[in-house]
Amino acid sequence: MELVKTIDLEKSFGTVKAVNQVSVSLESGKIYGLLGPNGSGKTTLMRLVAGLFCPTKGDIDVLSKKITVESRKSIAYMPTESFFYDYMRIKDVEKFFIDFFDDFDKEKFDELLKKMSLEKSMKITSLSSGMNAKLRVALTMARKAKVYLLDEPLNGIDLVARDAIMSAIIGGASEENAVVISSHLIDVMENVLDDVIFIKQGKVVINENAEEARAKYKKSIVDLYKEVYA
Amino acid sequence: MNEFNSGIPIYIQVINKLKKEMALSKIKPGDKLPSSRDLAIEYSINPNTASRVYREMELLGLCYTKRGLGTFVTEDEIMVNSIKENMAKEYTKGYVSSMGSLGYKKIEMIKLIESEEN
Amino acid sequence: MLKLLKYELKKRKSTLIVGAIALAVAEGLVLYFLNRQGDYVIFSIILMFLMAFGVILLAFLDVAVQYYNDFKKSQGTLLFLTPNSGYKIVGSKMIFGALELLVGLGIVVIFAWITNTVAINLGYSGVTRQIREFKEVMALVFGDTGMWFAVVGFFLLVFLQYTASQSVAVSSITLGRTMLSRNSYNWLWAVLIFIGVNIGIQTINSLILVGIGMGDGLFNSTYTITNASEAAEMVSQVTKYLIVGGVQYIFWIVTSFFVSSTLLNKKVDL
Repeated sequence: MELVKTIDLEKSFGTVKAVNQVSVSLESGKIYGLLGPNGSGKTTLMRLVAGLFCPTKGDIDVLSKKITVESRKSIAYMPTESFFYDYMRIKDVEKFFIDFFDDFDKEKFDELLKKMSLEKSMKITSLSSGMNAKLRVALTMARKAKVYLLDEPLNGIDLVARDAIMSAIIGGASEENAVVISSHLIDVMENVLDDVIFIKQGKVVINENAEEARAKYKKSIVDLYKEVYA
Repeated sequence: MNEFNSGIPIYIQVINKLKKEMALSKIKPGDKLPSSRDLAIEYSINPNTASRVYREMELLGLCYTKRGLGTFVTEDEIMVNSIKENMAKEYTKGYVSSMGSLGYKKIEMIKLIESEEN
Repeated sequence: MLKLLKYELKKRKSTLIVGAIALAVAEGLVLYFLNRQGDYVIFSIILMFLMAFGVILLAFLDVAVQYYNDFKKSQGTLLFLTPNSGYKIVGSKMIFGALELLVGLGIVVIFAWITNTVAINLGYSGVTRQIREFKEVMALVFGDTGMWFAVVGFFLLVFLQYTASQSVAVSSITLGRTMLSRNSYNWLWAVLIFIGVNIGIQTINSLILVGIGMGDGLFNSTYTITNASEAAEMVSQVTKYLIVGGVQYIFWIVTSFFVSSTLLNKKVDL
């Protein structure tokens, strides 16, 4: 089932086209890798689909309807930086999510917190960047959303936390939803991805099934990445 | 963390790992295998790939699925033994070939094996 | 909406507590200086004005700076991720700012009443006599109940005026973000818009007042009312002033609300 569709999507900041004529389709039951170096347009594209940025040109359809504020009910976007109020503890953030997101699964969140070794009494300001990242992933994956957009979830994460995060992401993917992971850590992501979308200077240069791409280009996605962005 | 070879499809590599575990008796005939989701998490692979692993293994007769209960290792001892035998043959081939390239003859190889502490 | 207001409150818990304590301390000082008598009374009067000014300024800055920071810093993303429309978000911030102002002004009024009562008890005659005379004139002019209406009316007018200020600040910031979203000087642009709109508001207000024949003779005649017709004239002048001002401020509040909400929904990058 097609969950999200972008049609000739464009986003300009001044004269720079951060996203340039991007037409992609996100289908349920798949894990997508949105790959490219910093500044290639990954975050901009995600924020457009999440409804945080307004397109300069083009359209975005979410669940076959033109994107609106309501679409945020089905889309779980995880920004790459911390986005909590300083006064909050983890339990305050949980309360916030329960208040505003009908699809937030409290039991799932408890489970994920446990796996991430996080306590609800912890203050946000006392979390290391790794713990903050784990919290963001836990909150996002605890929602029963249709589309998950995870912006660089593994950035600056140590190996142990990485496992916890990957397992939360893989565990959350299902036939009913689509997961999009943007990253430049391809080697970690390679085996998890169904489809790969390579974005370069705002344009999509490769958009295909990972297995087929490996067969077609006769190299791993990691090596393909090196080639595309050399 | 698992190191995967890019030349061979991931699902085949996972199947080979599971075969090895069966040959080493780490998973025994009739044992319950992890759900495809748990398999995906364990090996950090895509859930669809994990499903494919079990589908292919079922076609090879290495496991079977009981609806609602999960996937189980085949109880067919002959199957498990043949996996062992095939692995043994592969190891032996490799050993003989490596030793041969060092200039050893088979009789010398057997002598070395017999003197090897177990 | 209530949930949004709840989080606006939680965000500011420490600020509000500090503000309340500051007000209480200021009032304590006011009463202390009254007690000291003599020239120290000047401090009391100055402090009372500072309290009123402080409440208005703090409420204004709180609304403007918090709103601006929601855009600038990543912590604002938490709010924008939720499926709340621009109307709800802007509405909750404007309502909270207005409530902050209302409560603050209310506290100042209560403190002023306490101060006045204490001053009378301590035997002060100067300012308290003027206040009493003014009250008597007002009672004469408006009648006893009418006087309370007038007092409440003026209070509401002040409240609406500064709420309108807050609303214009919100739409100035929103406009700044819309027009210059990537420029880190969009705050400067917002300030310019704010000043410009405020000048515009004051000008329009003055023109309308002159237009309906009010000029600036409103308060000059306060102490020279000698007969019933002059009193009636005063009442009508005051009523017109309150209504004209009130309606205009409400207009600016509503316009700011719709401008900000629509921009937030459609044009601003969050």
